[in-house]
Amino acid sequence: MKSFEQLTDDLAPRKFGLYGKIWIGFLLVIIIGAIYAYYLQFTKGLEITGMNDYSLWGIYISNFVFFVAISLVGSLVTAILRLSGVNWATPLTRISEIIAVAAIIMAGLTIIIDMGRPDRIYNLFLHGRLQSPIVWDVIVVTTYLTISLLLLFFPLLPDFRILSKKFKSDKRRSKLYKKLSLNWRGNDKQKSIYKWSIRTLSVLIIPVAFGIHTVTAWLFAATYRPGWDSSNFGPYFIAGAFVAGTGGVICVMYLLRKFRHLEYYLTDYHFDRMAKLLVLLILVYLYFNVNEYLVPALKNTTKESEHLKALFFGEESFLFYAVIFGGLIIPACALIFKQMRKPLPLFLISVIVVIGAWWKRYVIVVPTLLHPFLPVQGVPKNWHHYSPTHLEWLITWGTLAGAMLIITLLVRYVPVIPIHETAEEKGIAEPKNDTNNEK
Amino acid sequence: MKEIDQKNRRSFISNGLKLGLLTAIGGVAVAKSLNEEEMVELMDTDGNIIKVPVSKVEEHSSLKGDNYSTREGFPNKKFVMVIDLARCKNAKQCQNACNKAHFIPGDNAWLKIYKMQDNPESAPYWMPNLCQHCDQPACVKVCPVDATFKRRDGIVLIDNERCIGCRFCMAACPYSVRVFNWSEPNQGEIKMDMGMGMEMDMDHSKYTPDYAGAPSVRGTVDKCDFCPHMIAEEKLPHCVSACPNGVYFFGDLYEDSVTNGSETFQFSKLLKDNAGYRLMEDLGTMPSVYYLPAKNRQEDFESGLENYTEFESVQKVKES
Amino acid sequence: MKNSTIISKFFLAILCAWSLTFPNSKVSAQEKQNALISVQFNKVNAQNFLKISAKYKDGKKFVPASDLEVKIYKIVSEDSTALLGNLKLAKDGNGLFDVSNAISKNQDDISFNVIHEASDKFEEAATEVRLKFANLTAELNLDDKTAPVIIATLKDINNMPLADVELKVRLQRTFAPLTIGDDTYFTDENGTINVPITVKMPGLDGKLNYEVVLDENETYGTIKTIIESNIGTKITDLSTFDQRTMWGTPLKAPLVALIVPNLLIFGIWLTLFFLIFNLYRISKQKKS
Repeated sequence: MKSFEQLTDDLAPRKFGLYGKIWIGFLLVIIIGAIYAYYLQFTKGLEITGMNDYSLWGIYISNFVFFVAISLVGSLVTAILRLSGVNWATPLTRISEIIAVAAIIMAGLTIIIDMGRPDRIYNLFLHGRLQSPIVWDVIVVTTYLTISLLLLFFPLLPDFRILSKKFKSDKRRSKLYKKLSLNWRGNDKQKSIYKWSIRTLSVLIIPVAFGIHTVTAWLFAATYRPGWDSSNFGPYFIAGAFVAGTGGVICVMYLLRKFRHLEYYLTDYHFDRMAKLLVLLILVYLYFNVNEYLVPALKNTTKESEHLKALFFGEESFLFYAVIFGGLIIPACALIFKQMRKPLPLFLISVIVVIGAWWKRYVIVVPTLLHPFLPVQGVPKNWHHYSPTHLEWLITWGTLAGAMLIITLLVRYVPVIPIHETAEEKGIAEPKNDTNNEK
Repeated sequence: MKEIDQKNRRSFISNGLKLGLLTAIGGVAVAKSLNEEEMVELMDTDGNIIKVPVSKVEEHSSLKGDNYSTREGFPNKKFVMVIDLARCKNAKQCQNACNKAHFIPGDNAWLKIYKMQDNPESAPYWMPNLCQHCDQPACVKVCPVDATFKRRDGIVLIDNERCIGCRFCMAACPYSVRVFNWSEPNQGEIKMDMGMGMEMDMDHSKYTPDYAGAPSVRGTVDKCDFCPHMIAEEKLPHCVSACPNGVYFFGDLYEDSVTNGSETFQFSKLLKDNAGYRLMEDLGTMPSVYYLPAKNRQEDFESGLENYTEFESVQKVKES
Repeated sequence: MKNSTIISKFFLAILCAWSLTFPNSKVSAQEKQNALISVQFNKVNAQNFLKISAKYKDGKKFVPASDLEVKIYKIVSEDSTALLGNLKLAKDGNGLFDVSNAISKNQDDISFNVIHEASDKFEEAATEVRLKFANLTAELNLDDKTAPVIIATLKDINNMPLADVELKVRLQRTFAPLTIGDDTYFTDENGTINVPITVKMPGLDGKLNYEVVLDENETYGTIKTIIESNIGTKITDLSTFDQRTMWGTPLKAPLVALIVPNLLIFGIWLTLFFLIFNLYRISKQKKS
């Protein structure tokens, strides 16, 4: 068994190596490019995108749905698994909270990017209509972001304290960590407040997480359009979100384990468990997909059939099958084999699942818009299709890079695996003499 | 004609200028007596003609009543439109007039004439389509900032000084009538006919949702406004008066009367006699636009084909 | 009719002049236009007007002569006229001029001359109109239990009935009047028509204004008599404007849509604020 010092050494944040610096540089280049592209969009209008009066929402909105989906994993791992007593997930709580925070911040940003008049966003507060699902979305996104931040911050208090002690030699850093630890001393009163708070947050985050993605689903389901007009949409989106989020956590887990050498903490067992969880979630999601496509296909009303034809046999069919088979069915089948649940193969499969999840949102958002009730007439020929422009892609990549940058920076400055909780769980005692040497 | 004092003038105006004259002869003249302010001749409720200074009348047109507000609309009115498909031959005069009157800048007209065929066996027909001004408007339901709103008189308008450009209303509208200003609108010179012989240059300080498109704003949504700026002068919307075939009938549901300018019908009887219907009734949007089926067609469907442009609804003005 | 021949001759002359001056096509802005002025006599209840409209030919189609200024003269005798006033036409080329004061009580007929003196844009133009006076009276007879009846009588200035003249009966509506009964009715030997109102129509507070019209008659001009009545069905407001609806303003949201989200927001945020306060509590814990 490792000593507390070893544990702290392993888990405390570290300076980036060469790869880390290249990675940050790479992200920054994309982000700066995206900021420039957004500057163009801000000055010229949304005409720089491939959207039009029929494809009135495009990759911005599908990207938004993707971010909201990914962010749901925070509630899955930290709340659902924690409350149901799944102890093996403890090392994953921090990772999933970091992902949740990064994704929900970028979700909020993405919805602003999609707006035609972001300069008027204050109207939401001046004239907000509680009848509109968008207002519900704004409220629930803000709430979820706050809860996620708190759920990230509370468990960090003891860890900040530990870090403050660890970096004693670096005065400024030590002081900053101490400030962040909010005078954490680990006394009984503090511990009881701390535990109560985390438990409350874990309970609170579940309905809010369901709320955020259900409301996001309602943005679509509240319309009359074939392909969106579905009472299945809330649970369908949530099931899909857990798949995407779990895939995301596995990816980050693998990379951290590899670059931070955390094999002792993130074991093959964790990967195996997460793989099994992923299979279960994919199966649930596939079940919802069957509902979502099979029932309208059976009824085959005129409008639904137009939309479904485009998905099954038409111009969107490649994406549709790629997402369903490549992003869901094949990964689930592959993960049945034990060998595939080893870290590296699981990582690769998860990358595919996450990419599939992104395109799945695209398949949900775009094709429906191209098949309105009345025929598409009297508009330029290219309005019959949607193809995102380079600038649009750049901005979208920028948001994805932004999320990854947030994750990377958090990884740089906070322990990616909770030190305090791990020590408690593994029964490693914190050296006593250090605890109370404050004046 | 004797001058009336300020007080009388006001009470006369507050009586709502219910007059016969505007309706009867439909045109108000500006009489310029020697050395006097420009005066308008109007008839009051007692049938007397009075001269009123132009400046007084401007703000209080007859239909608007005393406390007109753009968000509340005309009092005691409920505007409806009837579109007689049997008369439509895709002449597109309505579309041209609408595009011109609203300075439509983009590629997508607010009023479109669809080439329709319900099934392979049934006959094709031309179907003009504009904002249906639904009584339970899906677009208004979803607007997060109360930028698009439903008025007492049934008209659905957009305040493009408030719209945040989220386009949820466009996604919600099953009739695909809403268009977005993706770029800075290129509308040319915007002159607004204020009636009474006056024209006004439009800029934002004079903008009102009562006159959509004057001006349009980048990053906001536009659509057919049922022309409240025309209604205020008791004139018909541009599409209605432009149609050479009298396809469009416009009127007030409460008055049970619709007119295309040359013919006037009792609204309820017109619907009853011709089996009038509304689009997508099953969605429960309760449109204010009614259609009469293309029965006993006046013109061949084929005659409209020469005007049909599948990929264009707004003729591009050549850049000068 | 005499006056109509005068008018048509006049138009013909203008047309000839026009075609000689501008043999083809579009007239440039610098050159003066020839305006065609048409004048109609209108009598609404006790008021008498001239409805003056002017247009000119631009290329192949007629356009309204906006803002045209005209002078209105009353022709007193062969070679004497009296100026009644000036009128500037509206944007649509139409204008109304009140001539009530120019008409004396028992006058049988009258002639007007409407003249546009040469201006920057237009050549001189003039139109003469001559008409006879007639009286159109109308009333609503509510004695008949089955339906109210409009009774209208047309008589000349000497109180002699005018028979076999075409009259229209209409109900005033916002944009255009609605024809009641048949398209037209012809006066009988007493100069009278009887029109039962069989269709019940709605009106604000039940008020309905019917009008009996002698429309653009060559001899008498347009005479319109308006009957105000109370026989309409009352209008009931169908608007949901004042109700709480999903398509209402922020404050007119249905109570459910107001209460439930607000309860959720308050419940959750109250907890959140307490949790944030917990952070403060933790930071303020003294040593154990």
